[in-house]
Amino acid sequence: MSEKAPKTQNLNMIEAIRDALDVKMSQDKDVLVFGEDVGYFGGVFRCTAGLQEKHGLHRCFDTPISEGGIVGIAVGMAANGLRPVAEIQFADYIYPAYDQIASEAARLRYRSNGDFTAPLTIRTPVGGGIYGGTTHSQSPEALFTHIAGLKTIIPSNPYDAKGMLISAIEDNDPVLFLEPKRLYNGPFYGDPHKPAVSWKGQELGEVPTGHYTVPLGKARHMRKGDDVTILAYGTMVWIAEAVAEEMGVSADILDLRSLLPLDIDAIEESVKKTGRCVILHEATRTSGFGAELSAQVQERCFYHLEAPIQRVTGWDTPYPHAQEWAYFPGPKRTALAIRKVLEVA
Amino acid sequence: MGTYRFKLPDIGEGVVEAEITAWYVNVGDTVEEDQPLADAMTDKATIELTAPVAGVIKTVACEEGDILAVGADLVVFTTDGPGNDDGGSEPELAAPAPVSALPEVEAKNASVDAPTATTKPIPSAAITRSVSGGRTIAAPAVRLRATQLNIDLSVVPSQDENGRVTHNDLDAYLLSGKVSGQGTTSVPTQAKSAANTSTSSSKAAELPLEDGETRQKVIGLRRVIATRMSEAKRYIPHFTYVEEIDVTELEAFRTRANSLKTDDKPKLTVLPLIIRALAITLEDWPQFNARYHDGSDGLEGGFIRQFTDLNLGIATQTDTGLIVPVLKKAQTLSVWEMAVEIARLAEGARKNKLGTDELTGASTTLTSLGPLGGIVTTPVINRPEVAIFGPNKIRKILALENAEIIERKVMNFSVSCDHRVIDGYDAAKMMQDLKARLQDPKSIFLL
Amino acid sequence: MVKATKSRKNTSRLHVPEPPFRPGDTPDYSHISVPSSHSPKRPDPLCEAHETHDHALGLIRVLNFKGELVGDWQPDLTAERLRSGLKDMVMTRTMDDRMFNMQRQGKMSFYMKSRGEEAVSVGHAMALRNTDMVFPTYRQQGILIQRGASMKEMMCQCLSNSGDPLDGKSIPVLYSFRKHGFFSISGNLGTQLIQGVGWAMSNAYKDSDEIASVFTGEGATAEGDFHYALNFASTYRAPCILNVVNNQWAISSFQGIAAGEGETFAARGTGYGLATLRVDGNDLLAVYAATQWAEQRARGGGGATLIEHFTYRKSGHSTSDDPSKYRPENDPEVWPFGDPVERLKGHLILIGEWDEARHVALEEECKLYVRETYKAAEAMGSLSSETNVNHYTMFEQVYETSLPHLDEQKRAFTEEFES
Repeated sequence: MSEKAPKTQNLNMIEAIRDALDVKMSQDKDVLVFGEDVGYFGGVFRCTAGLQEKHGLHRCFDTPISEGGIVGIAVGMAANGLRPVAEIQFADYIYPAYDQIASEAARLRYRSNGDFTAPLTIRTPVGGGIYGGTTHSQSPEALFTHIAGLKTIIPSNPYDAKGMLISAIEDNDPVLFLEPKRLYNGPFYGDPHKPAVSWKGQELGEVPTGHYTVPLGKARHMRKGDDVTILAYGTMVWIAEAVAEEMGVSADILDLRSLLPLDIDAIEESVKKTGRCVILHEATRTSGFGAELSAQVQERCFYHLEAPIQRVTGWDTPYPHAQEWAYFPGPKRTALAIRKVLEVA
Repeated sequence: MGTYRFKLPDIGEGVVEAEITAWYVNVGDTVEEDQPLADAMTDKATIELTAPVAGVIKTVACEEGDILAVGADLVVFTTDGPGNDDGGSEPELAAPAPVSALPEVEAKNASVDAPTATTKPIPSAAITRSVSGGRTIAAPAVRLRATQLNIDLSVVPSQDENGRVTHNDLDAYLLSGKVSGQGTTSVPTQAKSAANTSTSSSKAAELPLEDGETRQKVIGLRRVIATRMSEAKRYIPHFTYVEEIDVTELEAFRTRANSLKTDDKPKLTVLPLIIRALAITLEDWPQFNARYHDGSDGLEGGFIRQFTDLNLGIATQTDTGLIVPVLKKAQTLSVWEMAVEIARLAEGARKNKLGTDELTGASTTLTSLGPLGGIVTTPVINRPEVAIFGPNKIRKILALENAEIIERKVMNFSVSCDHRVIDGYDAAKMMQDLKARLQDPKSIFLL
Repeated sequence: MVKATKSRKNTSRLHVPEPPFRPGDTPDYSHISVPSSHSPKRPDPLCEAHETHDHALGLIRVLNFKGELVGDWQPDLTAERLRSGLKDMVMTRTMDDRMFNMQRQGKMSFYMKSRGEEAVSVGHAMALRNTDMVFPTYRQQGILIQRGASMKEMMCQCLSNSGDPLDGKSIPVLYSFRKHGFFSISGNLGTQLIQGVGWAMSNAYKDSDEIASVFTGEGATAEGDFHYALNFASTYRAPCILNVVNNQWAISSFQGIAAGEGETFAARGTGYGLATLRVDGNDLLAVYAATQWAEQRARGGGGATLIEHFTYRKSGHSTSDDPSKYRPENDPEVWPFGDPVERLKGHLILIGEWDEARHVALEEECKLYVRETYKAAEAMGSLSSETNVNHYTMFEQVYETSLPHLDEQKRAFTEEFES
């Protein structure tokens, strides 16, 4: 029997997400997709374009502007055997749904001791870099990684986006799927003044057709190196990549992909190898997910640390509009931190 | 007949006390289950408390208007059936004290029956704190290295303006020859370097490089080994005794054991069998399982410590040098358990993952080069132990048996002893015992 | 120059509604007009929603205070079924009383009674299929009794003991009984309304003719979730019933705090284009009739109905509450709509299908059953002795399969627990 190499196509992240939804909707009648503007129009970022036409009005539809309602019906549907995929138009709008996510979806299995479960997926775009200001740029992942019973994941490229979204839909627990909107159309190396790069020609833009999964809870080695470990996810993975390249440092870059469950073993192995650790995220600093990462690295790798762990993050302010690039934790901030950990003899 | 203690329940989500506003029963009354006993008022609610059992009221907690702590006895019943406090203390003494009550009531109910803690006490065993440099400023990785080298970081000079000790500082310190160990690790515990074994970096620099010569600083573990070995040779008058042992039977036995073993067991090497034989033999020869504190390290000395447990140091070669993890209580382990533990220790030593506990406490040492073992070794004793055992390579020989030439497997087995405390005669006798056991492998399983 | 004037131009004032009577007052509810008989006509269940506007403002009643059947909404229920409903109400009340007392003896941390509201649960459940999923609040235990759930399991849940199907994970009364169409109760109020709508939407999506029935007290209608639920139920014509149990009190806040002093709770549905009914919740036959109408509408494709069950919470909110601190002691007695058990009993006696002696015997039977069941339940553990719940189960059912960080924490707990 000869096995054909899987066919791939070059997709951007929007197309990869749409492809994942299409694959699952074609495969499983229990998969429904809904949210604000996702139906006929296909979503403000076009992630659901064509799905209503292909799969029907009942399977991909518009909802009222009511995030609590969107997640609320998703909980009820999931408990009743469906696999709803709800879209929250921007993560900045997710807070009305917070109660339904934190108190209901994440807790239903536990409080009913498995009598009822909520296998739903919530997709929502996160992060800045598109001049979204305070209400279209937030990265609220740490508000969700703090919730027992929920999984929070964030891809950084089309290949992972499709495989992880399929895994999320197939997971029997609620999964929050964060989409770094700055990466929708191409990797972003941190300089907004340079011409935009598309996913064309990128290895990670080569997406297999049909069904495949990327497991939740496994980090991806973005780059191997010996001198410093860089922990990043979402947009910041590409900043790390660009800075490591430019500085010429031997950096071990981990794209965490899944924040909860977290691939702490991969992190531990890397930090023990390098003895130095820099953590990147776009979200505000205080009580950000970097704090958790830093704590866990310290717990597991203390005696291997040659220098204090550095965090590169957004400032503890709302995401400003005109000052977007002063706020964004770009290459300069990242390089300074890397230099700082490397300078400690 | 039984005694039933009805404790004031938490009647409202974390209430800690309640005022007893009315009693519906008196001491001596006979009450039915669910009959009202008293009213209790909290800042949230006034509620009626009913009897959980039928019985006779033996004591009541307090007077109307008193405040009672949640968990204190409200009413004690004498019941027909078994109660819930049948092995209990005197009810009079156990009567609760109202939290705030009139003085005369307080006097009547003098002792408090606080809710009994059912959880075990928090363990309060002495906490061992390992110190590597106290308040010295240093990265965790530097601290770990100092701990492993048994170096007090506080005495290491720093080149940093803030006094932070770096790996470079540590290297320089090691090179300076001032290493003075303390505490216990597998690496030398009495490494007090003598002037004649140290070469200062300045002197090394004076010696011109010859063509084709490269130099490596003797630092770190290598440095420590160097110091330790020269001290062992300097202080201990060694003698080495070697015996040839026929291990044909032992090897045959080992081959059989490996062919019969289940998959969950590791492959049995000769080492566990040797250790087994050694463990039995040394029970009769405790002077070899010993440490001689000769006072040369400036500490109190002049005594020999003998041990019943065989805590056997297993000399292990690693990329950075020799490490001696300790196989604890070897005499209690089966050969399979030993095989697993030896493999774990060797792996741990190579990956630098062993804890202090796994690197200390050896009473004697076994050093084996395995297949590289040569014909004879003269191992150097690991101070302050008094002996070190060194099995050499197994080799085939031709021997005569009943006028026929047969093939046998033999091994030379070395032991180096501290002649200050072990006589040659005893060493020879001990080795004969060991030899007898190894030549008849069944005997090592018959204690 | 215009001189500053001292007289106020602004005539608006902050208004905080207050209940008519507080402790110390003599409550007088003569101002509440009790419809003497039928109130609005019964329209076809598949009528236009606006045809039920009046029903949101009136009060559907079947039994008058003499116990006679009156009006347009008389359901077709045999005496046998009515007696069964009566028994379920008495059983619910008896169990409540027992559990309340046991809480007072420290056997459990907490309990909530449903006294006065038994007809809402029992009458509602009688009109549904057992497979119709209800999303209850903590005062619908009557549904479980009506559907024949194991009382011992219910009690073990409250006692958080080894017989608790939830392994002690939830506080008392927050039951979950999927096998009885009883959704896991959340302690967060109102959240389940919208979930029930989602459940109903998936029933419709799956071409199932089962419906969902969701509950809230009147107090939690002020939560956003209530409005999500009405909105989504209307938009997607979800086959469900939205029940507001207006028992007048949300802990210590009277219904005017949630409602304002405007229209009824049922009238909240009018603006969403939902069918709306307001029913005498102390009249089991009326509750049954209203539910049956809504159930036929939902199953028939007419979408959701909002039902306000007008009743009265006779007990405190929970064992932690003392209503005498905020309402007159005799308020429950003078409430003009009577007691649901007494009213059904009176009707059955009037039609010759019941008598006092049988009622006393029923009460004794229930008491005995509850007592024996409780003893068996408590034998499996309680808060005042040992709950017998395995601590390690707290790490289970967080996710379908455990995650590495939870395994690690479980090991840490083992170390703590066994040291």
